[in-house]
Amino acid sequence: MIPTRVSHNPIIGPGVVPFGVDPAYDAQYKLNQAPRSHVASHGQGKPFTVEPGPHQRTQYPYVTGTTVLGCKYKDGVMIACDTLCCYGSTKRYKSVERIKKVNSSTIISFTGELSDFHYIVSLLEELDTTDYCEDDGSELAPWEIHSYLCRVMYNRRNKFDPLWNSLVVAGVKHGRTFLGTVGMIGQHYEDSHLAAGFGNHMARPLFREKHTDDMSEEDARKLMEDCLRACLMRDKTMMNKFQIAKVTAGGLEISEPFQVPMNWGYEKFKDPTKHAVGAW
Amino acid sequence: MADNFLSKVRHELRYASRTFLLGVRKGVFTKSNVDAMEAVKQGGATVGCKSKEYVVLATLKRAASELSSSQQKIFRADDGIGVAISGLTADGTAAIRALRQDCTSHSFTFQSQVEVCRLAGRIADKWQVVCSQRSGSRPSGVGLLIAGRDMRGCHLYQVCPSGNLYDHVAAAIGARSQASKTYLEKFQVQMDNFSLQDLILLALRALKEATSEPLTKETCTVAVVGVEIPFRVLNEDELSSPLAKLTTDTQ
Repeated sequence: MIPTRVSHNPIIGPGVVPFGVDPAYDAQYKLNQAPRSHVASHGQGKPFTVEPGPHQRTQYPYVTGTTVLGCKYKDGVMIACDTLCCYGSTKRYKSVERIKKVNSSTIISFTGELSDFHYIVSLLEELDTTDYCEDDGSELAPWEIHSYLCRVMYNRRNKFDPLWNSLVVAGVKHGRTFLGTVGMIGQHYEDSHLAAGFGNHMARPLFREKHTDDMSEEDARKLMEDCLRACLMRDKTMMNKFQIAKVTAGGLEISEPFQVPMNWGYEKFKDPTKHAVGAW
Repeated sequence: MADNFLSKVRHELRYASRTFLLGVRKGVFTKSNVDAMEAVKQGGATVGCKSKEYVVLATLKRAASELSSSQQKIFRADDGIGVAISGLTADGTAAIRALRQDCTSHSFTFQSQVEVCRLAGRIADKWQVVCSQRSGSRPSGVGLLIAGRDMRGCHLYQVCPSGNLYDHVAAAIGARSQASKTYLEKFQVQMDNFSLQDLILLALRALKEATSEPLTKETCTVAVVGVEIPFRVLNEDELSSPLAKLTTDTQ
C-alpha cells in the first residue's frame, strides 16, 4: 500500500504538509534549507517555511468555475451550479460535475480554481476514509466539514499560498440543516441562502426578496432556476447546463444536468445601440 | 507515514494482536504489560455506571499522610468528557494530557466535541502500539474509565494498559473492584432508566463494596456528565445527601 500524504497533520494544522513527511511535496517547494522559523520543543512537525529564493505562489486562478447558489427549504437544503469550467474566458471544460458528495450527509461545491478544488476534495476524502476505517458508524457532520475547510483555507492563506476557491458546504444531520460558505482567505458564514462568486451580486437580491426557510421543494427549485437564469443572462463564464443537488434527512441526490429556458428576444436587444448614444 | 495508512494498520492490529501481553522484560526500568495490569489492580477503586441520560464516575481517594492532600483521580478532558484513573497517578496525568490535547485539537479544527469512542480508541491504540510494542517505552501503569456524552448519547469506556478497550454500562477497576462489579451486575437492567440521583447513589454503593472504611467527603470523589449537563465533579454540598443515604443503608 502506498502511504498517502498527511494533509491534515495535527501538529501544524490542516491543509499543509510538514517538511520531511512527503518527498514529492518537499521537492515541489524545493525546501533544501533547514526551516528557519520556530520548531516546537519536541522537535516534531517542522513548519512549512517560505524559502529564501523568489518562489512564486499561484497569483491568478487558471481554470475556474463561476457562481454557486445554495438555499435551505422545508425538508433540507439544495445547491446549484453550472457544469462549466473556463480557461480564462474560454469555455473550455463543459461537463465538469462541480458538486461533490463528501459523505452521506454533506455536499460541497466551489467557485474559482478547479485544481485547488480537486486538492480540497482529496483532503476531504482522507477524512472520509478515516471515518470509514474506524468503522464505528460515525461520520463528520456538515458543520464540522465547514469548520475544517475554514481552517484549511485560513491556514493556506497564512502560508501565502491560498487555495483559490470559494466553497459552499451544505448538509443535513442530527435534524439540523446546514448551509455555509468559506472564502479563499478563510472568511466564512452560514445563512439560509447564499451564493459564491458572481451570483453574490446577481442572485442574492432575488433570494432576499423571495426566499423563506419553510418553502416547499418545488418553490425552492423554481426560485433556484430563476436565480440561475438571472446569473446566466449576465455572466459570460456561465453556460446553460446546470445541476441541482439536494440533501434531506433521507439522503442526498445530485441531479442530472438540465437547462433553464432562456429568452434573448427582448425588444431592446434587437437594436442595442439605439438607447446608448455613442456606442457602436 | 500517513494518518490514513496508519489507521488502517491499527485497525488490523486491533483485532490481530491488541491483546498480546508481553512478558518480555525490556530493561531495568521497564515493566511488562502484565505488571502494568497488576498496577491497575493495586490502585484505589474506581467505579463508573451509566443510564440512558447520565454517566457517573466515583473514586476512592487516599491521602498519603495526615499532612498531605489526596491526589486527584477524576479529571475533566472536555466539556462532555471526564476521565477517572486507577493505578499510577503520574501515568494517569500523562494520559489525561494526551486526551486533552486530542480534545482541544479536534474542537479547534472541527468546532465540535470529539466522539467519545474515537477518543478512547485513540488512547487505546497508542497504548497498544507505542507503549507495549516498542523497546524503550513501557506500558502505562494506569487504567482509565472514560465517561462522556456526544451526539450519539452517553458512553462509558474502560481502557487497559494492554490497549484493550471495553464499552461498559457499568465498570469498576482498581483494588477490590471485583466486589463493586458484583454489586453493579445486579442493576444491569434497571440502571438504564435511573435518575441522576439514583445513579450517584448506585455508584457510591458499589464503591462502598470495595472498601472497608466508611465513605466520607474526604475519601471519595464523584463526577457526573449527561446528555443535558456538562461534565463536572460534584462539590461537597452535593455529595452530602447521597452520602447521608449511604449511611442509613448500613444501619
